[in-house]
Amino acid sequence: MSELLYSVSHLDVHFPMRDKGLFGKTRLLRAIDDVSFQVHRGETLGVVGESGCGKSTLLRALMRLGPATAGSLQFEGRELTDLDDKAMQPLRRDLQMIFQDPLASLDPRMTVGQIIGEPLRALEPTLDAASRRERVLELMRRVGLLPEQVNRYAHEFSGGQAQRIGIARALIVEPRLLVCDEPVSALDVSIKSQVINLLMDLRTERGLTYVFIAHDLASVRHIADRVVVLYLGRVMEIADRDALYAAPLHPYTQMLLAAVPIPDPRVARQRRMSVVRGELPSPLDPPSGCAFRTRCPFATRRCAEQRPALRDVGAGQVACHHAEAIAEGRAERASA
Amino acid sequence: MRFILRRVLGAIPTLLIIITLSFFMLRAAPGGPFTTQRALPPQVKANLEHMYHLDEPLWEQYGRYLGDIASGDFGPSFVYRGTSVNDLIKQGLPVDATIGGLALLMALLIGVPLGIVAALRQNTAWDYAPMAGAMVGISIPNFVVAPLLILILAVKLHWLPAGGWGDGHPWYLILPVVSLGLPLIAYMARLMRGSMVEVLNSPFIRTARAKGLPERTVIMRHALRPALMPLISFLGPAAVTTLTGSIVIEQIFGLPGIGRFFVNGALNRDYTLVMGVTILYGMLIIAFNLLADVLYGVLDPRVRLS
Repeated sequence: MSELLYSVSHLDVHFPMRDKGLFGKTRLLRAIDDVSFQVHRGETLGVVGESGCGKSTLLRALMRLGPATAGSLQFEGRELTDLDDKAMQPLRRDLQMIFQDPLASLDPRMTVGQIIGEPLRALEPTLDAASRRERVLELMRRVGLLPEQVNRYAHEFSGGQAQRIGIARALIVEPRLLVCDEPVSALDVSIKSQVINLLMDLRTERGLTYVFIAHDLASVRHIADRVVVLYLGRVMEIADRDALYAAPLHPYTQMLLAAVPIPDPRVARQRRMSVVRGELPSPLDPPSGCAFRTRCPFATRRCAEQRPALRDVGAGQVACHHAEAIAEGRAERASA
Repeated sequence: MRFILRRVLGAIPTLLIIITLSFFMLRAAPGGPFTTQRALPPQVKANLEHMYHLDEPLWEQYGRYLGDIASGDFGPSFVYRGTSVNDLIKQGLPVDATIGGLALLMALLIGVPLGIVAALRQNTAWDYAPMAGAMVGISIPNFVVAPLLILILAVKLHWLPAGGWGDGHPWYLILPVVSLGLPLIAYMARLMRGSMVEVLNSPFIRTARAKGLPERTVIMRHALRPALMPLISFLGPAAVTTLTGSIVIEQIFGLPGIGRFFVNGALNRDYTLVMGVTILYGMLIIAFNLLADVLYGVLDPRVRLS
């Protein structure tokens, strides 16, 4: 693996939640619970998980746009959790983000040119207006917008075009890491692949590194090199894309993959993996031991008593006591 | 420009409806301007009614009245003999406009910044203290606040005059302006805090922060403009009621404003006076709402384009 760019270690993000009533006690919502992973220069790290598993909270913490309760966030060896908003500001040159809802993320009172050029005004104040405009137009062309649309307002664009504006806005300062929070989940299927292809082209062209969040495994499979699987704010598995999709180690990953529809019914019938069952437990009151044990077909007493650590298994890392046994087909399936 | 012209022309039918409705409703009310406790001699009453054209058929009176208004004449007052309604308005309105304008200005200069600070320092003392104060300010009516202020600052401490207009001397203005302005400060602060909190949570503000803009730019360039929208919708009608005076404040401080003309006029069936004040209110409401709509367009390009 190449050089380390961003390292997350033992990150916690907790929100105090007060119960209803005058004397309701305060409980901790562990949105992110002891999460660690590394992002290497030039790779695309996919993060997947059901809604409510803490994906967006994780991204906001990475960007220092949201809280981080404990743990360490290091970008190019610099600790970010020590920096306040002001000290963070120059670093925004290197760390940019694309948002989930492209239209709502753009200030409706600004023209496209103003939106895309604004980061330059803030982060490169010495640049004169003419060269700024030049860079805005060049980037608009690159992401597939027409330069003559520069004076239009954001709400005059479709969702796909708005996301192209969002991409241009993020790339104008030439960041090193681009964090994408479900950038295509709000788009039509046909537009979705166009935007993903654009992101992939830009990655090669500009040597970008991505952290790419999605709840849609198909787009992650398309773009990611490695994948982190989150469940209830904890890491279940980290593996290379091909290994993960071919031979998932964690029972939760297996279930997520089993939920992807297979177009060919003959193939679908041969599928062995079971579908995700049960409801997501409340993050206010997570199960003891392994967070996934309440929905896991292989759960044993040990899973209730001891929280499985994230450990190296084969090519990746997995947090499951029975990973090897499951892989070798030795694990006993509880009657479901 | 075309938008403004269209709105001004559109205001004419609205005004006509206001005039027509209030004209006939006023006439439908029992009694008249010359109904007194001791009945007037029939001949005197007939002369008076003839002088003011009250003996003509209603439709003729209505037509005549419309003609007068069109030439800017609200007619003579029935109760304040020898004075025209135009004179009464000219006399009273500047008093109310001065007090109301200063109260509005004070509310804008104090209430809006308080609300913004409360929103930026949400759930701290900077938020709780002004918001608790504002709740008190909204809850206590001005007929309680004003006498209390008089009692403390005028009667006990002798710092300020207890009442009167004093020809507009600043000394005489302070208490009425403060009494009228306090609830406005409170209301604007709460309104501003609410809209600012909402805007600060919107996705495009998160984008602005992610861009790497300094917090000052995020607030001044991205958050403030949309947050001002509710304030403007509130200010349109609120400015009219404030500028045209509060009968309560006028009574308590003995101010020669137009509020008392309105009330006295209504009680005495002073047809022309009531009509004059009503039409004035109507015109001001229309004008200020137009101003608010123009300001919307200035603050939000989406309004301009549609």
